[in-house]
Amino acid sequence: MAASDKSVDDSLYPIAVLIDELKNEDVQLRLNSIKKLSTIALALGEERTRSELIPFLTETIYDEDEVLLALADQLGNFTSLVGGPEFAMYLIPPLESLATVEETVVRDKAVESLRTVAAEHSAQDLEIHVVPTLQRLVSGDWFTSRTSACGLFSVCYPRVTQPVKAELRANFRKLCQDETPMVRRAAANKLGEFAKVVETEYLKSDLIPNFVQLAQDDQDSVRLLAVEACVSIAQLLPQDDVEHLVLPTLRQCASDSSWRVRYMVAEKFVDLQKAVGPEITRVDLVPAFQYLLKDAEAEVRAAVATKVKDFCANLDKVNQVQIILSSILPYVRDLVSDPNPHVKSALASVIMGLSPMLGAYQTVEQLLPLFLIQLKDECPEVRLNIISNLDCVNDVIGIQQLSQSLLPAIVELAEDSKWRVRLAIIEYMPALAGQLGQEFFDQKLRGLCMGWLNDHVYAIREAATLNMKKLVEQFGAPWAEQAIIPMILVMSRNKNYLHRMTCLFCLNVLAEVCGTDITTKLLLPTVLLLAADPVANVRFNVAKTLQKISPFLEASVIDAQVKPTLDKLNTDTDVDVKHFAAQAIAGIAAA
Amino acid sequence: MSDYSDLDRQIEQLKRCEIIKENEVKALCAKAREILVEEGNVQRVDSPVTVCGDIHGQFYDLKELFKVGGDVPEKNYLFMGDFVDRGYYSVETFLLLLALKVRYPDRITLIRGNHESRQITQVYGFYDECLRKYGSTAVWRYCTEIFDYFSLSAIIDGKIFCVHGGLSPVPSQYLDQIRSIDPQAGGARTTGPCAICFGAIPKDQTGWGVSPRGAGYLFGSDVVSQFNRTNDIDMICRAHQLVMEGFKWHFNETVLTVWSAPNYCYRCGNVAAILELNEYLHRDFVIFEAAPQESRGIPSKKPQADYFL
Amino acid sequence: MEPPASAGIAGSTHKFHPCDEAVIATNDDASDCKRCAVRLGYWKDDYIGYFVRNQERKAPEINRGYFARVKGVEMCVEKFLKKTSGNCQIINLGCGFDTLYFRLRDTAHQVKNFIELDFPTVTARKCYTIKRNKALLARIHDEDGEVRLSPTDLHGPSYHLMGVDLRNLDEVDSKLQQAEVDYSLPTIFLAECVLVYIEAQNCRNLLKWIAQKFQAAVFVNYEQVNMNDRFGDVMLNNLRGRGCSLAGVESCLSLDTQRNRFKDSGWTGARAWDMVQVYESISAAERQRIERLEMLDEGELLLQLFQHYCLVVAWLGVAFQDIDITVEELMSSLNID
Repeated sequence: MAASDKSVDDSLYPIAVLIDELKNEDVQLRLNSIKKLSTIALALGEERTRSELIPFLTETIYDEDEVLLALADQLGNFTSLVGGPEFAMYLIPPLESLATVEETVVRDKAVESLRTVAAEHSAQDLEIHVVPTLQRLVSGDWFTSRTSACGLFSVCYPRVTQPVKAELRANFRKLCQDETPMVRRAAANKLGEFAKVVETEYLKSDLIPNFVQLAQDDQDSVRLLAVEACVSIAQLLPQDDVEHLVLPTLRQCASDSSWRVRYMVAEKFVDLQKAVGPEITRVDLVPAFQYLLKDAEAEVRAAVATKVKDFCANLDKVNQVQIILSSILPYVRDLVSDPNPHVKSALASVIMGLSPMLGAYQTVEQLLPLFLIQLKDECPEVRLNIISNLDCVNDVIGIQQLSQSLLPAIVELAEDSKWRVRLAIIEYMPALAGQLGQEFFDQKLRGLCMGWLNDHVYAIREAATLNMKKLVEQFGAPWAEQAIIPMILVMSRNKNYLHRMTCLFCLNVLAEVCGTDITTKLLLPTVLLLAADPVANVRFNVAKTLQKISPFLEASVIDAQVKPTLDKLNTDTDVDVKHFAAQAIAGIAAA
Repeated sequence: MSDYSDLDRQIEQLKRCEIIKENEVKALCAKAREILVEEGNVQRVDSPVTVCGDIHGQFYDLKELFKVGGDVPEKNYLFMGDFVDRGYYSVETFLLLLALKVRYPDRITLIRGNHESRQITQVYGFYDECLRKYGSTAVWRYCTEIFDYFSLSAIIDGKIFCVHGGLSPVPSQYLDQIRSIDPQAGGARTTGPCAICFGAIPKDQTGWGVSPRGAGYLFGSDVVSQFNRTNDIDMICRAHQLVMEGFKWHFNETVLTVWSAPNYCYRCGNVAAILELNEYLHRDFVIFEAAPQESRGIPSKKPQADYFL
Repeated sequence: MEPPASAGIAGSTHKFHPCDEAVIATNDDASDCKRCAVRLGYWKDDYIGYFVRNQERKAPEINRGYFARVKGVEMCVEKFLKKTSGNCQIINLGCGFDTLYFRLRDTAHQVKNFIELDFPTVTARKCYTIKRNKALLARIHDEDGEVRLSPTDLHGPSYHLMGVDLRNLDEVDSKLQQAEVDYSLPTIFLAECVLVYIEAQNCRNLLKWIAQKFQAAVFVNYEQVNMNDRFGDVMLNNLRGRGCSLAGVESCLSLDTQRNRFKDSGWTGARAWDMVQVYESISAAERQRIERLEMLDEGELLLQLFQHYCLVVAWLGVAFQDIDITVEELMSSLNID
């Protein structure tokens, strides 16, 4: 470190500046100086960072939350700057006091940094330096410090001696019974991660009673955090214990008087399902799932609707179809016509996923009628969700069957007032075209595809252009020459420049799939014609198009036709026309 | 062919809603000044062009605008001011538009709105946002300096007069007089004699009035018809006022309000519009809604609409 | 999320985590806004600064909106205090960090009992701030008075701050008794954006319960109205995005639904005004004063907000049916000018 070579006066400089800056009235300056704290520590060296900088910071912890937040953040990465893990304990005092401030964000950051730094301590140092801090926080006068304490258990517990472990479990129990709801919430919030590091016997004897108690708290915000912990705990216990120790509480949460708690059960349902296994799922969770699908609160129904696919997918394979058909679908059918749009939309985002589980016959019998209703739903999001997921149904029943049933609805949606719905339909076209075959496509869908080229929304015209390319890939260049190119070339003579631009965009992509012959004979003449367009935007797009299609042209054609045109454009009065012409000339020369 | 690689990179970066460096902003503003100083107070614009109203820092909605309208340079744009304030991404929004202006000066025209001002940006968010995102006010200073160089108005093919607010009663029914306002006079433009006024609002009756809410004048249909006749123009196109349907005609289709900030303030529930004029000045409105959540990425801090809670 | 995009067609699928915390956070937001408006000079409040540290600047229409809200509620309180000559109680439901009690202490107006209720997580923080600031504590106890404390509750001689879930009426009842409530004393209930977060049935139960328990009472309710339009949809979506559902929104569809909520719950009568009317009832001089504090260039934004909020005054018995928002000659003595 260069700084250590400097004279004493010089090396005092950084801390003097820091003190100065930290006293400045401008918060922004104080913030900036905290943010470069690591630079200052580097300049000071490890020893002086420990003996001067850290004590200074510990004493001056009284500032705007923004500054404290930055400080809490910095200290989490300071271990190497104080001399490595064996000196990490120097960072504990400032972080401890930051963990007691009023502002939650600062406290949370301080706890996060404490966790990082604690993990860097040796087991012995942890017990000497971090555990006392944890215990001071536990017995702090204000809820702020007790709340912070909750975050330190899981990082200390696994590395301390048996007697200390017993103390920590007792401390945690105390926090679970704290008078201030924020502390109980913090405890409930950390219960899951603490459970993971506690020995199974103590999990059952100590933590489960805490869990049961928190799940019956009079604050619903505490109860719903207990639901989250429920998953972690269920994952740690054998099935038998889950049934006796966890399920009664879970059942109670699923019918909690607060919909927020029920919502959390819905959110966690699949995790719970995985934790408890197929037998408990069949006996206990299926009825609970049905119950939630019928919940009086729309938010709960919406949450559980998004789980329909995953819940069904995780049913045991032997009974899967039967359970879906007899126990789930009747409820799903009701949700299709739910009065709440969020619920319908949530369901629409996953319902297609049932198709592979049910197979072709049941999909056609049971699901298709539901899709048809949803494709006509008044809420655009429902329509969009169904269209966007049609492909997973293709695989099950084949597109022939699908398109026969849904084609009228799809044709209708091709002109939907929401452009994102139209976009989803366009993106589905190539697959549809491939399956339906050219003749059927020409009859039923080609008109739509051409129509999109003139849509008043640019994103649709762009997608329609790309769609042209994919269609040619399906049906081949001869089809393009006969079925679409003539109509596209006509657009080059449209009075509205937007259509002439779209024509050029189509030619860009068609050249790639139509081959040299068509590009030279059919596409190029139109491009060259547009070089004299009165609108500058069209002219510079001619330059861009010429560059793009040149790989598909013979050298002789480029020399005879493309280059002279570009040379002319390169003398255009419009700056951008000249720019893109010059770029095209350079690009073609480099090729 | 000049080297645009830095500028093109900055544009790509801004399009991802990432800010560019402070020294890049400084250089960008310097280049913009060179271009803007050449523009008149009534900037001549040729059709075809797409005319847009207020954006107000709603970056993802500006991207939505380009999705429905098409990108620069393929499409020509005229933005009628109020790029900044209120939305959460005034910095990215303004710098993207400015970078596009520098990169394609003939394809995009930016005129000044009442929010392009030192005073107003200190109340409505742009100042705070610059400070938050750059840690100093330097970027705000560069930007507000460039505000002084923006044209106050534009005229499309000599027929459509575009201005942020509308007309003011000070003696100046002639466009020539507007042209003579010193473009570098800064604040004088908002208070001094000028035929146009950032805060002006069309009113139901004839004649002039003073806006009951805040700064600005009301101008009536007779004022417009006289202005249009004297200057041989077909219509006045302006922005400045939220209209729930995105655009609104006044005075027998001689004045048009265009509003391009959908769900303004993330709260108002309005749709937005842009006016597409083709090479024959044929009018086509494209209506659009706020960008859906998924297209917005994950911003560092979740912005929230303000209510009384 | 840049919010709320919810005007977009796919705007409603964003992640949603509901809990009372989100409702509780609305208190922080409201307190921040009040602090901002106070700092800019909209009204005087020497106490809000103790509870709020945030210095963020809010948009002018938000500041004006809070001004109208504070002023509107205080006009009603003032009339009630005059009429009862202080022989009354104030019960502030979902009080948040409201400072009315402290401001009243600095005026000639004294009340028999001032009771504040909110979620325990809110009252714990309010207790914490009061306990740590002598200026606040000094206004709660007189020379010989004692202050009893628990983490969530605070009891002074005539001030009681208690944590309670307003949906749990047994708990409300027992807390009010701890606060030595007098069911026969004229009582004014205040609720600013509180009922709208309570499920309709719970809310009706609460209002019915009050109507049965108290003999003479006034209820001043400030909250959303005309929510049955696009603005309302966007608000529901935006707040939902923050994990906050307006569970009682069905009573906020019109001034009628607002009044009926009280009338159907056993209250003698109710009047309601949207905030446009409330703002206009504030004296012209006062309005001019605050309109000069900040330039508001888009009146339509304020108008749209004002049209979606209202003040409802409901009464039990006949003694207080004339409490309303018209301004009296005597200017406010509530320290808000």
